[in-house]
Amino acid sequence: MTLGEAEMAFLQKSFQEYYAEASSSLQPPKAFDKREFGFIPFRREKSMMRHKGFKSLPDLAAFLVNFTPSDAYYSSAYYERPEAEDMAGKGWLGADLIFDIDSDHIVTSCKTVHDSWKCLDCGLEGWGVEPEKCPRCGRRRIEADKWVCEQCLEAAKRETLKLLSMLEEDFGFSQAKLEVAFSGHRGYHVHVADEAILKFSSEERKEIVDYVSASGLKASLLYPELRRRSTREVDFSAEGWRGRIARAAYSLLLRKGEELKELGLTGKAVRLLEENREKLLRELSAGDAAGIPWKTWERLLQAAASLEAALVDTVVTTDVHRLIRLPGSLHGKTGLKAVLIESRKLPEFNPLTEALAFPEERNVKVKIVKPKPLKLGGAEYKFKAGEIVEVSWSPAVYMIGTGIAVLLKGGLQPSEA
Amino acid sequence: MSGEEPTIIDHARYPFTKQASEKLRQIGFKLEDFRSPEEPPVARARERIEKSAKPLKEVKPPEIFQGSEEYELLSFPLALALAKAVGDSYLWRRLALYEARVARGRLEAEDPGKIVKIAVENFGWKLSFNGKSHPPFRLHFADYLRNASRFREEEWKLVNQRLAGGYVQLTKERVVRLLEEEVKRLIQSRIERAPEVEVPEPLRGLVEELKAFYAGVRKVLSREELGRVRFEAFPPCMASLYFDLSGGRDIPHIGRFTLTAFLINLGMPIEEIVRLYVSVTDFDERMTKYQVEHIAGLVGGKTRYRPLNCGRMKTHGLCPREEELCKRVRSPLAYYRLKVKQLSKAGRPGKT
Ligand code: SF4
Ligand SMILES: [Zn+2]
Ligand SMILES: [Zn+2]
Repeated sequence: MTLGEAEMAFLQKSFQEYYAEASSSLQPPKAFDKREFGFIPFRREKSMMRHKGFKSLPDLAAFLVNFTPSDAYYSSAYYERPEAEDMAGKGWLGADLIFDIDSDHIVTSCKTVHDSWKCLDCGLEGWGVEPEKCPRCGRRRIEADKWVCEQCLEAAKRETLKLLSMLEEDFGFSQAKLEVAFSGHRGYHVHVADEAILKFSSEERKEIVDYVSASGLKASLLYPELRRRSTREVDFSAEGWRGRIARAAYSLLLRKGEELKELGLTGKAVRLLEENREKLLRELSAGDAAGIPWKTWERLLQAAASLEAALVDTVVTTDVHRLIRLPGSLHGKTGLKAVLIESRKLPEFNPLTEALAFPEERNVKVKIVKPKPLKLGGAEYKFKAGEIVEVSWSPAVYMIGTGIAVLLKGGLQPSEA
Repeated sequence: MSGEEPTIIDHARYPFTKQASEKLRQIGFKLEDFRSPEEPPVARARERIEKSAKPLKEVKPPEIFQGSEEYELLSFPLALALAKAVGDSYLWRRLALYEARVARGRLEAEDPGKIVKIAVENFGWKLSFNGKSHPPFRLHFADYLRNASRFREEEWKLVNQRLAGGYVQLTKERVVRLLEEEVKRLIQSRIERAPEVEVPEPLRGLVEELKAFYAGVRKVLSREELGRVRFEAFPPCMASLYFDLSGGRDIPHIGRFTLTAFLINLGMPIEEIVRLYVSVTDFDERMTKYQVEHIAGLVGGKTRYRPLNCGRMKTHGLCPREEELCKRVRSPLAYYRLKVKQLSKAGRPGKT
């Protein structure tokens, strides 16, 4: 979806006012002068402007006001010469470890309500996540229409919390080394700045992604003794995944079959669990599982692993030259702030009230072109197509930026102050 | 941890350690001091190099006889210097692999305190031992990954370890296996970084002999490896991957994948590809075979993989340079086919 001239100008004007006010709320990364910065301009061809470097925070703040980008990024990597145009010339010094959790990649039931798709070849349409190829004509030119809701963001937060607990407990990173940021749109970013991982290659980072997402996890390797029939001790308090899957297996067994299916277990696995529930629970709580065949255990433990896995984006973490959204900057589509959150405050954090960037007193008149459910700043908006409404500044930016509304002439009402 | 100072026998057993280097400095090791290939340290150095051509599986730590500790110790920097003088990076890699395997064999029989000491002092590992817990060693995950992320076996994946508070719990056997990796890198980089060696006159003949010996080893390898495949038709990307591999350089996983897929698609027999990998690297034969078969589509998903196309080669930094012919193709395979056609038009097949 491309924005009209007026809409683009409105967004840019809004962002500029934000940056003029907000230079103090920018949250610059550590070792500022060793980072590469990149910006996407408010222009039709959204090519990124890269290889920028700044010596100081005021320089960056001034740039944001004058240039007013639609999106601002900085490199997870540290460079000797961040402004050099090729990687060889930059002199890579290391990189933070970053994780991207995007609700787009998480299965949620709300997607069948607010997402839809259309086959560009035969015109077939459907609700929910788009299929890889069209079920009618089999071709792959499919246009997806996606939306984010509160439930999506909650799902992303749950994944982030799982990730954080692994980073702290298993990897031993102190809270001081961890930074959590709302991405400004669909999820969260976690940055780890620690000497220990600074020089890690992609391969080493991949191992960490695999760890937190339980990819390649083999219950038979974590519980070699369960396989041999001699002892069947289930180790609830054990380190790492060994303990985690044991605990998760227990709580899995306490859930109803319906719930299990919702959690993404296959019908076969659910049946197996239901049939053996009593026995499994008895043996699990006795800490001795001598009477249950290994295969059953294995299924249960693997299912437990997939529920405990944190769904993070592999590519982002393994890319040692990645650009990530600058904390304190605005997301070009939503106008929401990419705010840093103290990790212990994440459970209570609500991006739809706490990441708003614009003062409430000013209103904007917009026309709804594509109604979507929207909840922002404590208000719930339900519109019909074609409706003309006056909303406050932040929701107006959100609606225009995401293309569900267009600006009405007159646009932004002047503020009193 | 044992606080005892290492003795000459320790230095002879672990000549790559800092203490051993210190000892060599005290002795005043100089290449110019050796006047004949027959001197015991030189003869041992030659033996080290010759043995490194053998399959790793057959490597056993040689016995060190009483009274010969100093020769043994001296033969290590001598072997490195001779290897440098030979100038064959394939030899460098083999020698590093060999020495590391010898060290592993010896470490396996050491007590935990000694293992911890060597790892901490030489490689800065965060490693500790506690006889009461099982498994008894605790190693920081960063040290673990620096060495284990190269292993492809599932049992080495971090996700299948016991990790808590930043530390992985390990058995002695595994700690020693990881140390082998570290020792190998150390030795290889020591040879690579050493300044060019000025070989004293009496040893020049020996260097020439070793050069010929290793060239012989390589030739045997490359003949049997390539079979019917026409190396002269390789695109620059595949040629460079192949050279790196057979020159004993590490190539990234994706590079191995795409080279393997390329060779399979060219019709090179699986056994030969496996032999190529096993002979020039320390890859485990069983795993390598499994992986090659996987790429060939004989196991697992049954899809036969194709090498990356030029676009993806470029994103992975695997395209070294475009040649004239590259402009006419979109994949390394297409390059090869086109080049073969051109070569046969040009008449007789080229020689390798
Ligand atoms: S252009 Fe393609 S064929 Fe040529 S070297 Fe690069 S990757 Fe290989
Ligand atoms: Zn269709
Ligand atoms: Zn949703």
